[in-house]
Amino acid sequence: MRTRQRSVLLVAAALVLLFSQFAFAQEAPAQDISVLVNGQRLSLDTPPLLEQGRVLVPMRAIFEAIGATVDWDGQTRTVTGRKGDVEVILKIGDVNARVSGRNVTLDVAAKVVNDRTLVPLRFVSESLGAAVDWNGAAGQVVVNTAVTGGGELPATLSGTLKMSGSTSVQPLAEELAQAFRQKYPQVQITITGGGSGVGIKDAAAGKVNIGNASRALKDSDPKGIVGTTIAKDAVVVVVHPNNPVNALTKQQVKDIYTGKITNWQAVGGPDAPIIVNSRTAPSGTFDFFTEEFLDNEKVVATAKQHASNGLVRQAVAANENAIGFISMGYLDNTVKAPLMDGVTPSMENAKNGTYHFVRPFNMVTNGEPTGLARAFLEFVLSAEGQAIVGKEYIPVK
Amino acid sequence: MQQTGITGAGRNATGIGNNPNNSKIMVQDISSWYGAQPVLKEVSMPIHAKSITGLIGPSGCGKSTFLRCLNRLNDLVRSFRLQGTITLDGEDIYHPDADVVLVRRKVGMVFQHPNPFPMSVFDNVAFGVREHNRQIKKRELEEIVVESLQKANLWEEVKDKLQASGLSLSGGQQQRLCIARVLAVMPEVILLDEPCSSLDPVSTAKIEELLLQLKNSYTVVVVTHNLGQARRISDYLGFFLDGRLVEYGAAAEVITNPREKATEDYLAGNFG
Amino acid sequence: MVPEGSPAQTAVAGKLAAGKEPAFQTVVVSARRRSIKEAGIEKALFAFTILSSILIFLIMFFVISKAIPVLQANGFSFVFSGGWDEHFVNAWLAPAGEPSWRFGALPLIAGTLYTTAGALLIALPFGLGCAIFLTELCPARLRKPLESTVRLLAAIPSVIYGLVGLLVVVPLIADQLISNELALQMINVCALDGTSLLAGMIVLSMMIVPIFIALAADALAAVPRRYKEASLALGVSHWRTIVKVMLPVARNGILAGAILAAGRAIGEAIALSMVTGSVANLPSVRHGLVFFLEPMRTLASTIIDNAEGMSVATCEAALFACASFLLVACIILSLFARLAAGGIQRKGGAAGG
Ligand SMILES: Nc1ncnc2c1ncn2[C@@H]1O[C@H](COP(=O)(O)OP(=O)(O)OP(=O)(O)O)[C@@H](O)[C@H]1O
Ligand SMILES: [Mg+2]
Repeated sequence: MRTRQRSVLLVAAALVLLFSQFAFAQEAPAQDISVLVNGQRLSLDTPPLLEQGRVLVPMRAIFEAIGATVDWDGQTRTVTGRKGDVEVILKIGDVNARVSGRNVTLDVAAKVVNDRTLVPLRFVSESLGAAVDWNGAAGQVVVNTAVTGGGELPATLSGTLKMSGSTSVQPLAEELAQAFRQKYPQVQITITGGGSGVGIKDAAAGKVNIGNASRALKDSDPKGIVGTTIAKDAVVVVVHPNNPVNALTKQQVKDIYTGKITNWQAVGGPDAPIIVNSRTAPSGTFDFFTEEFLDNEKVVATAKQHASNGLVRQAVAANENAIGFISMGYLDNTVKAPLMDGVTPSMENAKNGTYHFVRPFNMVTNGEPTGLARAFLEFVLSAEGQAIVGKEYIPVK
Repeated sequence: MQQTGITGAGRNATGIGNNPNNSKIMVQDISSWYGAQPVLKEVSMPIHAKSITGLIGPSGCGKSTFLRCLNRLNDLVRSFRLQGTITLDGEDIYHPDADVVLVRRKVGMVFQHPNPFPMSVFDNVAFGVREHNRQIKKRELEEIVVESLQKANLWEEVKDKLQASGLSLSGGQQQRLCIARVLAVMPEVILLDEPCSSLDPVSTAKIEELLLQLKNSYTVVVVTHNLGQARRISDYLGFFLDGRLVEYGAAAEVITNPREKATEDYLAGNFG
Repeated sequence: MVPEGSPAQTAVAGKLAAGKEPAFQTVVVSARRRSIKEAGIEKALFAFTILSSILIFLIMFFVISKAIPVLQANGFSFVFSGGWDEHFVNAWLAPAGEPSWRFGALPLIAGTLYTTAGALLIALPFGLGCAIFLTELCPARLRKPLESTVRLLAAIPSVIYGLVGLLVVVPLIADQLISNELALQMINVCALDGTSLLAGMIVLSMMIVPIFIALAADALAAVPRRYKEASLALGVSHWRTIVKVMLPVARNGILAGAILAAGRAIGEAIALSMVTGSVANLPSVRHGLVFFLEPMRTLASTIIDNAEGMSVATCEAALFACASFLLVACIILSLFARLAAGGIQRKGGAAGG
């Protein structure tokens, strides 16, 4: 019974395939060219057209596939595509196009074939921020857009996703990976440390699918990598609410944490010892703190080593002479965050850049993310992923 | 300070007051309960000094309870209640001011099952002595231990293994060790609750012999189920039935010429 | 399963049916059937025992083999030198090519010994007193509710004790015992803020005292009545009877309770990491009574606090070295328990009950 059903289905599927092949063979001169957008074959009612080495495809299909909206003005025979704040305007038969108000000259103009408007694939895609690759051997145009988090996630996935890099990102990556694996138990995810630099190098060299970096990408980083910012982390120095010290400078914080200042008097407080609270070494916050506040100098040996942001906050809340540093997400009224170099450490200031002690968490891929990495990043940027981010970090969406 | 006041002498048929001046302990009209269950009912009886008083009666009639009243061991049972008076040398042992520890020192007890402490033979005997006189000299202590073991007819058997565990002795030896332990603290009265019930005839004979020696210097009360034993060693005999002291008198008389039908039946082996 | 009619099985069946006439054939058969079942259960239990001992050995092997690289790299200085926190940061940040194997766990090992010993010092006398009160002195009405309370306390998860310690004990120590001057004077040695060895000892003793009371009370209650009666009948006072007869007889059980309590104390991580100050500082007796006020950390707390470091091989090995020390401590404890039990046996003969 069941086997018969299955064989019927198989036959039907084979027939469909056969007919579609047949249809292509009938109507398409550039039959060998296919378009892959974010790993999925673009289904086209009119086959791609090869003209002077440029591939043209039906406008609606490509615009929608890369997440843009498209308008057709029949009177002026104008195509207008929009994605985010980028606007692309093409006129049928006109090599002069406009990208966000800028004039651009094309090799090949848009044209109408069989009542369908065809537009140049590479121009449209790249203008709207997608990466385009030509795979000559397979006769394939590969288009990848930046991950937005709005993309649909496939029902099933399998394979192995490798990550390496920043140990600050690692705990978050691990938590995200765990949630991801709950959705897709078939997927194996390995995450190793090594630091941001290693992650970026590994990603560029193709050793891992994703390199984790707890910093912004720099010009000196390898070419061709794409960083997807998945979260931001602000680190805040906190003291007890009763502590009269309302402002600190980075230098003072550094002196306190390296043991040069041990009395609150030295920073305008009472004559009392400073109880220094730090994090255990594996903590990403500790990483960032030593980098940004201490310029990589060692934390004083008497510092208490806490295993989490919560414990540092608790320790500071419990002792009037305590100082600590925590992720901004942990800031509440049990502790006080003095002005840092004159800036209020607030989420707003962290987002708008006036508060400096903020770092992006980047997941780096070699080119725009594809395959498993893409699905993972879609998940990370989705509402669900960002909710996980939001537990301890600043979400990016 | 209470008078022995045997005003009720001759009031009942149990022979109380036969020889009041000679009595070490006077039990006057005691009744007792475990919770709401009455156990002893209006029991009066003298315990004569330097003699053996045997107590017999069917199982569950209250013999052990009676015995344990004499050294206030029933105080351990929370639900236990007692009415009436018991005097030791004329002093009420249940008087609120009475020193229960002192009473127990004077009234030693040997239990139905041998229960030496899990210590060496020597320590078993020395234990009570040490507790009563913590400054005692070693030599003096040793003397008492040896003497007590000798009195208990155990010395010859254990003199080479004084440091062995008391629990390593045979049942009969253990029971004599328990007697030696009591003798060592020099009590005035020794209560024995079926001391031979778990022993073989040879051990039983040894203990009977021992009791006959002891009565020269101690007042002895023995509960027994063995009528032959009661006959062989008792000077006085009390017969308990259902919490009441049905018959009491000189042993020979109670046995040969019981006044009560119940006693006669019991002695004839008709119940119990 | 024993095959039908095997010698062992026939013997059992024969024993069960001893003295029965051949007419009681069915009895023999059912006895044989039961004996097969019993033999099966026995075998299963035996298998479980073997399995669990194998498991224990596997765990030991696993833990110790993971610890070996660090122990080899450091030798005795792992036990006799400090600097754990700094070593851990170094190992964590070391570039992949040149791992840092240097670790010194003296403060952690000493800290574990200090807290355990201190907690036992507080908990054992107090717990024994409570157990005696419960079993011997307390009015009958109170006994049941008190016993249930103790058992409830024994079942409370340690993190609750940690919270109580954090919210009550630590502030109390900070307010009552640590002056501003003292803290200032010590600031270059360690930060005195109430989280301390003393807080650890107190919290740990609170944690282990209920188990110990429960076990000691059980042991006392199990002392055969005949010993108590014999002693009382000798005219020995109740208190002396408890001290000289009941406690010695119950010693095995009390010791078992103490060892279990010590085991819990040695292995406790969460509660201690909350109240002892989370820094690998070795409290020094040279500081006098301040010794008790100094922050410190135990082996178990370190494993918990630094667990995130597991992804670096060196850090992982170091944490496993801590774990292997805990394991060894537990083995020593159980050996000690055996020795002590053996000693009692030799001295007083088989303690009854
Ligand atoms: N601790 C106790 N609590 C409650 N009831 C008890 C207790 N001890 C004895 N009894 C009850 O008191 C009654 C008398 O018991 P007791 O032990 O005095 O009898 P006995 O004459 O010594 O019997 P036996 O010859 O079998 O030893 C019995 O019904 C018994 O159930
Ligand atoms: Mg009895």
